[in-house]
Amino acid sequence: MGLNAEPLLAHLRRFAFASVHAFPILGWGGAELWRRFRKLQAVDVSYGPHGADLFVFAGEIPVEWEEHTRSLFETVPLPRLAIWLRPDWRCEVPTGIPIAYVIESGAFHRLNWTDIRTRLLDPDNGVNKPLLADRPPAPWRGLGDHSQGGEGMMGGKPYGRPMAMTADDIDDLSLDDVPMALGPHFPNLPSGLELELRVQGDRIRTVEAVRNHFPVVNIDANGSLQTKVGIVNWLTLAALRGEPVRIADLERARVCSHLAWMADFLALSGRDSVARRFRHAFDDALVAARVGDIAKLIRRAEWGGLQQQLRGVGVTDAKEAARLNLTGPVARASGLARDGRAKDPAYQALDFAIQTETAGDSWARWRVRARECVQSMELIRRAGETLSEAPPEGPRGESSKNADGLRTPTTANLAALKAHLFTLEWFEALLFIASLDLDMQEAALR
Amino acid sequence: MYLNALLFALFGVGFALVLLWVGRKLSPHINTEPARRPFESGMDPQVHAWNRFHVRYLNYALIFLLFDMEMAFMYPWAVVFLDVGWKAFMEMGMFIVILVLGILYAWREKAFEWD
Repeated sequence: MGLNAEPLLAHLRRFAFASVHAFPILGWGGAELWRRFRKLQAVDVSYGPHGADLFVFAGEIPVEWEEHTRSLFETVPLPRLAIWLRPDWRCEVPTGIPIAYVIESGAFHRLNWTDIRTRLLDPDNGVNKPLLADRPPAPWRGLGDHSQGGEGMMGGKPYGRPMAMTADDIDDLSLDDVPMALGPHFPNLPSGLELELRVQGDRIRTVEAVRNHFPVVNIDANGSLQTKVGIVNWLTLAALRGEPVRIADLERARVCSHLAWMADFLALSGRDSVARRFRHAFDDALVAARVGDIAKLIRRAEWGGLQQQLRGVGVTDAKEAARLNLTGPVARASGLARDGRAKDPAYQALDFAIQTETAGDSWARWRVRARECVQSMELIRRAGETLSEAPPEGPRGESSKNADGLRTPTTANLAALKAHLFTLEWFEALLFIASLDLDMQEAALR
Repeated sequence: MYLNALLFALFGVGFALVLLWVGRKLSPHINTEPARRPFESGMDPQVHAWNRFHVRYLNYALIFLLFDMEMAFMYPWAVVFLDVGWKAFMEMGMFIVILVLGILYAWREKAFEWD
């Protein structure tokens, strides 16, 4: 063939994508950047690297993540590209993978998508080739009687990984006991949270370990921390230092946090279109948001069986919530009237009332947050410029300093996770974890 | 006589193979061991993905058996019911009571709940 097909093929490849799919890795401040990036609606989210075209690093990526993010990237099919959403503080470029694009946090709307697609499809972009050596996780070919990689039926290591052994399940049946790690990069769960589980079928048998992949950060030592942990924690930290905070700012942060949680939670429960409406209804500062709009949106989300789906999932009764010392909406959903705001004279002057539910299940947690959204909008309107002097209640609960350092709501509520995850079925477990609204960046603060 | 059918089949299979070959030739792809690694939401999987999954059909089997046995016995019973009379009625009563115990057991085992 004397015909040079390359220009034609290059042209045709541009039509290969109806839309670009992106898989996110969320570092420090990454959740916020990713949320804003998604709002552009330029990419679809991929829930695993196998379905992705763009591998998106968002925020400051801890250097400890280099190795496992690189092996995740290797599973992204060709053509592929790694981009980085840089946070607005000085930090190192994520290492391990050649980053093709660095996108400044203020420049999302000026992105040149034609250029990004061209780079994605460029065979010489540096990542459209194998990056890791072609070796199985463990040698197995040619070993054993049937080349299964070991002795006996269960001793083999087909494709380099051993077979799961059996253990008795709750019905005394001997079933495969599969060790599996949930997280730290599952797009529907808090980034950085890794649960080491043993599952039998779709039922969780035990929780072996709960890990936080965010490295520990000392709040007194690091000057740049204020921006690193986002506005929500920044307000909490300011109040812990004893600085007065505007009630309107606090409540705005609460509504934003709750709405963002609701959007993710709805997406997880299979309600993508409503989740999208939550993401796009309001901007980050809640300018022009009205109480009625938010209440309407929440009512819309509750149509279609949300209550039936969430009832009875991950129940923590009041006694247990008190024993585990839970905090925030999680504690209030179990019937504990715990809210730092009730003790604050500034809030008392605004007729603040604690929102509680009694069921203690995931539906109760949804309802508490839903009612708090509406209440907070009212408080923003009434508060004006009023300042709060007391250590405030953040969207996830109360933070306090003790002998061990900082006790954040996430560290407190992780106790509920450990206590209730086993024997849950897979999807219930995901809903339950999401209903606790954990933020592993917060849990890394000391 | 069947030459046309043979040609048609050959053409069909050949065309499919050509399409597969074209796709393989034109699409960029890598097929190395690390690229085939399954995604377990972040970390490296420790065991092979082949594992046995228990669907718990025993509950369905229990319900099927209970209601199917009932029907299997009731058809011949209905034929002779008028001839035999009260004796047949008592026998069926006893049979149903035993079956109901099974249904209660299935109920306790949560066989009637949809997951």
